[in-house]
Amino acid sequence: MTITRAARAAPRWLVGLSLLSVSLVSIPLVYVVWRAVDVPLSQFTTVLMRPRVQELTVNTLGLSLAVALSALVLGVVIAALLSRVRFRAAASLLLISALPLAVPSYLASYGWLVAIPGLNGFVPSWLLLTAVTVPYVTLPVAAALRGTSAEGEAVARTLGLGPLRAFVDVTWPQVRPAAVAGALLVFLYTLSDFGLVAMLRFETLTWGIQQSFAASFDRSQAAILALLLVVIALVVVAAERSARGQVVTSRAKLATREPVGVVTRTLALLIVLAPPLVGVVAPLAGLGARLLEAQTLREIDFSRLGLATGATIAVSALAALVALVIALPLAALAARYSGRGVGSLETLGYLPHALPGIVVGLSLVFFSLAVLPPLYQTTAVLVFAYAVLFMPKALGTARSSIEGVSPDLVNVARTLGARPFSAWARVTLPLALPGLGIGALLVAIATMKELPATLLLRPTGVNTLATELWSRTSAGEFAGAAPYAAILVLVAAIPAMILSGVRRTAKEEL
Amino acid sequence: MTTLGVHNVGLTYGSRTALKDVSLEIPSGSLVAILGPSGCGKTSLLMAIAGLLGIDEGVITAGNRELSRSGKRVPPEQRGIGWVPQEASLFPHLSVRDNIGFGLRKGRRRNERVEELAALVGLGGFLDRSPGQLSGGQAQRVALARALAPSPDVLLLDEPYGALDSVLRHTLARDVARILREEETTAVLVTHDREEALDLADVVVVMDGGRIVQVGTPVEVYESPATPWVASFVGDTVELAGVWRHGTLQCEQCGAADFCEPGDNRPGCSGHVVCALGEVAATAQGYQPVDGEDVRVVVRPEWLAPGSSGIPATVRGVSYAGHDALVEFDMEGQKERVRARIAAPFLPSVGQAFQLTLRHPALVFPLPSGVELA
Amino acid sequence: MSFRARSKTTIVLAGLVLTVSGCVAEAEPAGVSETEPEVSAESEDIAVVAGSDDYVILYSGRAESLVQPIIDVFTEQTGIEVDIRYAGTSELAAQVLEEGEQSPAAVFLSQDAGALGALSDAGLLAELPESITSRVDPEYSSRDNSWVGVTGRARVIAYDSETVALEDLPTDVDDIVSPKWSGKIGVAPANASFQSFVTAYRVIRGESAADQWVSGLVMSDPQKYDKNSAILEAVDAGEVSLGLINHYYWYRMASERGGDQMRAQLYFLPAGDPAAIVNVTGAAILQAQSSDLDASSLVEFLVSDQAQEYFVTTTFEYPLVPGIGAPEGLPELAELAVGDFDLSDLRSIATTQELLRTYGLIF
Repeated sequence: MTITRAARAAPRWLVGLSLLSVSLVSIPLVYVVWRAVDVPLSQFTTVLMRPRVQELTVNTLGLSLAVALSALVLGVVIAALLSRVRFRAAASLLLISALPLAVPSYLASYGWLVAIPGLNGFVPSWLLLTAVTVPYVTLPVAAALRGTSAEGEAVARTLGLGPLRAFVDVTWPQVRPAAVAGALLVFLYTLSDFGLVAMLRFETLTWGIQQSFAASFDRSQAAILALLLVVIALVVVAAERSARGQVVTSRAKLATREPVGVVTRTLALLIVLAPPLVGVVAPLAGLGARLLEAQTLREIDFSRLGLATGATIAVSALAALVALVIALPLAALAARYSGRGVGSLETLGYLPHALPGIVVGLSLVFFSLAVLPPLYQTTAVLVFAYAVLFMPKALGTARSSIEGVSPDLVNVARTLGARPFSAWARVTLPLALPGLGIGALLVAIATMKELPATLLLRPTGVNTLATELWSRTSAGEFAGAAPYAAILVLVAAIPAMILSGVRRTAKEEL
Repeated sequence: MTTLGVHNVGLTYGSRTALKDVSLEIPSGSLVAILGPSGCGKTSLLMAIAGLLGIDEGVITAGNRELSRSGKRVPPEQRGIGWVPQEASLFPHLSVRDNIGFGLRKGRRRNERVEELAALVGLGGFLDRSPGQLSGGQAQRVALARALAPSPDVLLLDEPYGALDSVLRHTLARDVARILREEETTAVLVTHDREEALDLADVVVVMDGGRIVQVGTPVEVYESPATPWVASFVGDTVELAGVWRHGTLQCEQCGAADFCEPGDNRPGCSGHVVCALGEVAATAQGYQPVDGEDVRVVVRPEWLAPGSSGIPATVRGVSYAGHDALVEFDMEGQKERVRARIAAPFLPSVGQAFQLTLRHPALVFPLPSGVELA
Repeated sequence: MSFRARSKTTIVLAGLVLTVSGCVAEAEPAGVSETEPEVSAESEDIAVVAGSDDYVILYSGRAESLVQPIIDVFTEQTGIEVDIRYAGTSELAAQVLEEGEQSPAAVFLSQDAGALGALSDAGLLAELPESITSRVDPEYSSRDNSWVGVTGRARVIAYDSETVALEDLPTDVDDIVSPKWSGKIGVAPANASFQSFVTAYRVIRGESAADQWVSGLVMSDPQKYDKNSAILEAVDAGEVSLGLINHYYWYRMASERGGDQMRAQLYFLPAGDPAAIVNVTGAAILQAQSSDLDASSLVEFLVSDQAQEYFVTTTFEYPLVPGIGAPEGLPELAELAVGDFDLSDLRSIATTQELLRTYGLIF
């Protein structure tokens, strides 16, 4: 009998560190509230009552829920197909399915607009966002499936259940936590996305925020809308925690792959390849078409490209590290201890993820100038902004990877003479490392693609691939933009591919 | 080497009481088996001794040193108490060598000690393997070596042979007991396997529902169980209804002819009981029954022997085990059936008639009074 | 284990790259010291005065590919190093508003007058010296000398040459909202230049007429875009027949694709029409840096003949300094309507926005 989650109280130092993490990440929230309370209550309610605001809220909610749901379903289906159907190039397929992560949403929409210029509205936004975010569900579910035994399903089949039913009744409960956590990330991503919906002219709350800044220079109005986003996020994050279920550590027995007929295999292949085709191939093709159209092909300034690439890689690596460090106490707390306080802390850690980059960026302009002016517009604050923005991406995987380390192992280490911290460092950390690495990679990828906060906070003169891409496209130089877009996707594809690979080794080691 | 003492220890999880008023003395160098069904609290007790769980009531001591008390606890890493958990729990990211050496300080002596222990458990050539490459039995042996490496005063083993097949289990258990004796390590072994407990332990502690039911040597626990439940837990039993008769025989122990009190060292009074097997000698366990009182009679199958005289009985079923057979008998004129253990190569067949006699005083217990005596 | 080793190497490499790129990017300009007065032999517009530190930070809402070359010329001529921060005008304005007095920027180069107005209203802009404001026609600068116009952009109509004949084009702004263009008009209502046009309409033709026009527009079911460039692309793809944009977008696209190849063609409404007004880009000096002489040197340079000619030939925008010729093929600036209103009057813009908001064109 092993006790996985203790009813005993968490040690104070861990709670303290977690509080510190949450406070750091809540800086944008504080800013939003600060600006929102600048307005008198009457104006507050006026803004909220405006029919347009309600329309934007409905749009935002509708789109986010739709994308989260479709990503959930599609992600689980693809992961199931990848693990249970015998494909010839199964490993490569998993790799390819991770690629949409590498494409920034604004790039995806841009590429499609080249192909279908009139593209706009809810449906294209929904479909495109699904294609780009589905790996957030596919990858963890595929990993979870690798850790489950197919024996349960086999037993269910002998009891008369069809394959679909067997999957739903037996295997789904085991992968549910991973799937739901991934869907949560998709929801928050969609909530905060601006680039894609702006280009596809689907008006959401993020669009409203942008308008408040750009047209009216009204930061308080922007803050009120941002608060709306936070409230939505709060409800959903809380709901996810109850839907999550418990992580099951089971002995991994490799699942058998079923041989299927050609028709089924082709269909399965199409489903698996759909997101990469829609989210990667089509946009890049669109950009390529633009490139060909251009009459003046500007020369590629390789040193500039190199600098931007270097800066992008450096800054994402640092951001991944910082995000992980911030996430770690919170993840450790949530993994081993239960209770309402723990739950609230974890929820707070997720909320800032709902805010669009411009809000987080401005909040840190405000904060760094108020607290540490010499650090303003330095790499330090920029990296910190990324960590704040993307920490939730690391939080979920960090938590479940720590949860997955049996407490028995730590207990044994302690009876062998290791003090608590030493036991943690020598046993839990190495075993949780693959999972932590996944979180870090997710943060790195997101950082590479980030634009609005980067524009606000980067040291003057420093450019990332994303900002270079932006400066060229906003000036209409699509030919000049193409190499940066290509390199950006390439560079971001590397961690995406590692992601699909790391999971494999992680499971085998365990 | 000191005596490990558990004094009136209580432990509660939320609403569930895991341990209640548990007291135990574990003499230095002995091997104590804690025997009981699942959920009886044995693992909780072990973890409390190891310091992995705190206790709510009572005290745990090692010699004069206090280890655990409500609200205060010496951390596990400072107790010098080793622990072999139920499922080996080897560190998957470390080699066998590094697993065994985990609790040792770095240095040349570490390597020597690791190799010494690996040889001790018979895995000298496995040092560079990874845990995933070991079989269940090998993993358990590594876990044992790992726990022994820092030379702990006490070693706690939580059902360490649970996952192994019976042959391997038996040999491994004996090997381990031998190693522990050689190392003069005090050991507490938790098991639900009675044969293991009886074979290896110096002291057997029987637990149920978070409480200790009986403590004694294997012989004491087997031959003089405190309750019918203990009796059936540590061995096969045959239960019969009976009526107590006393006074017809001199009490061998106290000399009284008519009536005697149970004494400090006597489980109870000797006398006779009338049951399906006739009027047979019996000892009352832990109490003094009144003449004519209805009692529960417990008899072990090996105490029944087919002979030339006794109760006539007919064979109704045979459970063959190779070295003996558990034979079920119908007795003439009786509703209750009995089982007798009959040694090989004598193998009766169904329908055969025998005469059964009881070669050992029966055990007599009071009737249950609604609440199970624990 | 290999994963750990791999990640360690990556981090070390990342650290190295970061250090290198950081060093390169944040390199202190050479010569942060007192300089002797240095009078450039070139243009009489530039004079570097003693006491400056030869360094200034510019926030530019205009694209790097446009601004960097001319600033490089400035640096070459004056020795003043300029660190430029590029971003969208409104984001930069929001940033400066947030930074307040602590903003490191000395000069703000804006894509539109509205942003400058917002900064001026917040008291963040310094009064520009006479030497700068005198160079530009006061019509195209702020009323209170807080910012100066640098270039001008005319509002025009881009039309789909394949489906629209020249004679069908509207001759008056009111024709745009006639039923025949229903569903085929592209506008960017959130864009400052569009809002300036609506403001101009209000001033020139009156509030009730403006109200009627906007409601007429909404009833025509216009296609709404974020940016002028998106409108132009739409016209060029045949998605809409008419687009209300700024003139230079067409020239820019034409330089990449060839003007004759393009489906979208330009049409200027007659002078005096609100839909043909001129918007400006402008520059300002931040109050906190008002004593920085390098800042005024920079702004002065932007309204120098040299820079103005650069803008004409590079972006096809109108120069605002008299004596510099308009881009080839474009009607002269003087021919276009000028509204008698402050381009940066935010209160007026706010009223326009309220009007657009009422009809649901903006949020």
